[in-house]
Amino acid sequence: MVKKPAAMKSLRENIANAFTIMPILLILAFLLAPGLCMADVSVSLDASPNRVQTGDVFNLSVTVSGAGSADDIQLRGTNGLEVGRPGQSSRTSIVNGRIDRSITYTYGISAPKTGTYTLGPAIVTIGGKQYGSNTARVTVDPLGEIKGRENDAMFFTAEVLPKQAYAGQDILCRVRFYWSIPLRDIQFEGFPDIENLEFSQIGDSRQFQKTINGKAFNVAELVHQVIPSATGDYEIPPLAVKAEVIKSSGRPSRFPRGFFDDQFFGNEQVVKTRVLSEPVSFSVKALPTEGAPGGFNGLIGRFSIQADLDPKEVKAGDSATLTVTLSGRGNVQLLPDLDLPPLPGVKVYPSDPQLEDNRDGQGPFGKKTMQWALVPQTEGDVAVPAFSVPYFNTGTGKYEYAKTREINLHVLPGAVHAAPAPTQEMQVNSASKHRVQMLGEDILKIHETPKAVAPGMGQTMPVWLGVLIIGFPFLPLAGALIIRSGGEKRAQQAGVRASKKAYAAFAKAVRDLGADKSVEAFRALQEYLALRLGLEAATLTSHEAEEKMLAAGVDPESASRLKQVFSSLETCVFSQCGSQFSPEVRQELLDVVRAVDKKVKV
Amino acid sequence: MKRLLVIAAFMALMAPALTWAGEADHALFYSANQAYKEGNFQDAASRYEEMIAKSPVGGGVYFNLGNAFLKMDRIGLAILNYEKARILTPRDPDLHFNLGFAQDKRLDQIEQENAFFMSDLVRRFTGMEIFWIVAVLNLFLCFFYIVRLFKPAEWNFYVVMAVGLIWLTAVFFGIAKWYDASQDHRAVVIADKIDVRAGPGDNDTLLFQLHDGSPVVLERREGDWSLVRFSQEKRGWTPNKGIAAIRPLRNEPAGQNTEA
Repeated sequence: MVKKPAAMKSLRENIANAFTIMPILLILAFLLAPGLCMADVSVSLDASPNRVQTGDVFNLSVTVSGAGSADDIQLRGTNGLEVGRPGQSSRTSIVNGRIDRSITYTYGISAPKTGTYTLGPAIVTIGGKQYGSNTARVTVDPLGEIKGRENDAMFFTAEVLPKQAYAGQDILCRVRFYWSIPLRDIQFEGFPDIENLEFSQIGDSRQFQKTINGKAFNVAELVHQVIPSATGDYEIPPLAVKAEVIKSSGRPSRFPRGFFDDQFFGNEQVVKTRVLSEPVSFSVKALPTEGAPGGFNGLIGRFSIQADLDPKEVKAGDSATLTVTLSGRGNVQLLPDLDLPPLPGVKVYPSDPQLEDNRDGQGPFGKKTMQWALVPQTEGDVAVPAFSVPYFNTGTGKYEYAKTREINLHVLPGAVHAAPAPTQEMQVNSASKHRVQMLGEDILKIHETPKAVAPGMGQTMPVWLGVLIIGFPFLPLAGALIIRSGGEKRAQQAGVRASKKAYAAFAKAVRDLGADKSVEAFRALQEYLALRLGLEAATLTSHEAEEKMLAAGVDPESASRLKQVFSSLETCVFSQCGSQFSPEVRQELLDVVRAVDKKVKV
Repeated sequence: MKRLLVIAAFMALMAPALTWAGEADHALFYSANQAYKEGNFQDAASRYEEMIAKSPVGGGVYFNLGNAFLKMDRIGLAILNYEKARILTPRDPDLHFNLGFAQDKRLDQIEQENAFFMSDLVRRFTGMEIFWIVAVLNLFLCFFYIVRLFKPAEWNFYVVMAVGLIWLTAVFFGIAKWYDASQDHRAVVIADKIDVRAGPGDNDTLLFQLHDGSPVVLERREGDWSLVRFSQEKRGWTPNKGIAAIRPLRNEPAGQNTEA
C-alpha cells in the first residue's frame, strides 16, 4: 500500500477547512453587507400642519436616516411652545440592494401664543457625532369662530376666507368638527345648493388635536374652494355633521374601559347625533374698472417679481442666464409668461417657463420661473429691460405692478469680439426667426420650351411596336431553348440507337471466341449490359445485372438465367479456370442474352 | 455580323416610333404662348386646343391650356387640363403647384372617395416609363437566362433570380398601372353649377348641386345624361355638357370638352 505524502494530506485538509469556513464567511458577508451599503447619515425636520391656531397641537417630526437610534436630540427654536415627549417609529427599505433605515421621533407641540415660529434645527447625537437638521416654520393664528364653544362636548364650525373677496379671487371655506367624547362614523353632509355658488373639495380631510381652555379636542377639518359665478352677498346656511356617540351602558363591568367596551360584549350604547354649524356670510365684489392697467389678465392676490442675471459680466460669445421669478399668493395659474424683447447684438435662447402651484390653508400660492440664455455677440454694455406685471392687490384693493429694475450686462471682448457694432441687419438676424408670409397668389407661368410640345413616345407608338419591343428578348430565349432541347433529344436518340445495336455487337464479339476466351466473353457481356441499359462505364456483378434487368422490364426467369450465366463467367474469370468457355457455354450465353435483349424496354 | 444585322433590324423597327414623335405644330405653340403673355387668354386657349386636336402633344400644352383657362377663371376646365397634363408629365412640380392653386379655388368641399389602393403610386409614373422599365428588364432576364442555359453556374442562378424578382415587380406595377388607367373614370365639373338629379331628366328629383371644378366619377352615359358619383353617398344624373372626363370613356372619341 502506498503511503500518501504528508504535504498532500496537508493540502487536502486546508481545502476542506476552506470549504467549512466559506459558508460562515458568506453568512457574515450577507449580514455585514447592508451595513456597508447603508446610506449616509442625514437628519430632517418637518412640521405638520404648518399653520395652526392658538392651542392647536401640531406634530414636529425629526427623521434620522442612515444610522441607528439617536443618543440625544436637542430641539432648538421651541421657546414659548409646549413640547411633549416624543414617540418613535422606524422604517427600513431596500432599494436596488441599498438599505435605507430611518427612525422618526414625533413630538406633539402646542402654541399658547400667536406668531410665527422657526423650529429647529434639531441637533442629533449619534455615536458621539452631532448632526443638524433643517428648520421649519409654523404660523400660529389667533382663535377663530370656536370662541365660546369650548364647553360643548362636540361642535361644528364653518368659516370663509376671505369674507370680502373679489371676483376671480380664490375663496376657501374651511369646516371643522370638534369632539371630546368617543365618536364614530363622522360624516359631513355637504353643502346645500346655493345659487351662483359651487364648492370643490381641496385635498383630503385631516385630523389633529386641539386644546381649548385646557380641554382636549379631536378635530376633523375639510377645506373647499368656493367658486362664485356672480358678484354679490352670499350666505352659507348651517352645515351639518352626522356622527354616532358611543356611550357606556351603565352596567357594572369588572374590566377597565377599553377592549370590552364594545357592542359585541353589550357594554356600550350608540346614539346617532347631528351637529350644525352657524351660518356663514361673505361677499364677492367686482374688480374696480377704474385704474385697470393695460395688459391686466385677471391676476389677483399679492405678487412680487425678481430678476437676476448671472453672471453680469461675460465675454462676447459666452452665455449669461437671465432668471425672472414671479411669485405670490393668489390665482397663480394666471401668472403670465413674460417675453424678453430683442436685445441688440445678443442672441437670446428662451427656456420653457416653470410654474409651481401650491395650496395651503390660506389658499393657493406659487411661482413661475422664466429663464433666457443671453449670448452677446459684441463687446459693450447691454441693458436688459425691466419687467412689469400688473395685478390686483387684494390687500390694498388697488391695481398694482410687480416690477423689476433694468439690469446691465457688461460684455468683455471675447471670441467674437472682432465683430463690428450691430447693424440693423444684424439686429434682424439676432431676432427670432419668423414664418415667411405669402404676399400674393398666382399660378406659375406657362411652359415655353419645345420639349413641352413634344408628345411622349407612348402617345405615338403603335401597339404592334410595343408588343414587339416587349416580346423581342423572348425570341433569342426561345431559340436557345429550342437548340438546347434539340441537343438533348439528339443525344437521347443516339443512346437509343446504340442500345438497340448492342446485341448485334455483343453477338459479333462472342460468336468467334475460342474456349480459352472466357475473359473476353465476360468483358463483352459487361459492355453489352452497359450499352443496353444506358449505364456509363458500369461494372456490374451478377446480382446487380439481374436487378437492372428486372427493372428494365425483363421477366424474372430470363433475368435469373442471365444471372446464372453471368455468375459462371464471373467465377471462371476470377478463378482463372482456363478453357471453360466451351461452344455450349457460348451458345447458352448468346441465347440468354438474345432472350433478355428482346424484353428490355428502353 | 449576325449580331449587327439583328441590331440593325431592331433599330429599323424602332425608327418609326422615333420619327413619329415631335410632329407638333411649333409655330402654333409659340403664337399661343405669345397670346398668353399678351393677356389674350381666350385666344391662347383656342390655339392650344387647336394643337391638341391636330396631333398628339406633350403634357406642357395641356398645362399651358390649363393656365389659360385659370386666367379666365374657368376653374373646372383648368383642373381638367391640368389632370390631363398630369397623366403625361406626372412629376412636373409647376403642374402640381398650379393644380393645387386651382383646386383651392373650388367652391365645393371634396368628400373622400375610396380609390384603387395603388393609384397614388402608379400615377407618379407614365405608362410609357413603366413600359420601358419592363422592356429593359425583359432584355436582362432573357440574356441571363440564356447564359444560364448553356453555362449553368451559381452566380448566374442568383442573377437570374434577382432580375426575375425585379421583373415580376415591374410587371405587377405595369398591370396595376394598366388597371388604374382602365378604371380611371374621373371627370370634372366644367360648368359654373350643375344639378345632379335622381334620373336622366329635368323632371327628376334634384338631389344636389355641384360647382365648377368639383371632381366626380363618371359611371356611364345615357344619351345626353351622365351618371356621376361625387362620393359614396352622393350620386345621380347630370347633363353631359356640365362635366368632362379626364380620360375618354371606352367607345367615346378622345377630345377636348369645352362645351360649357
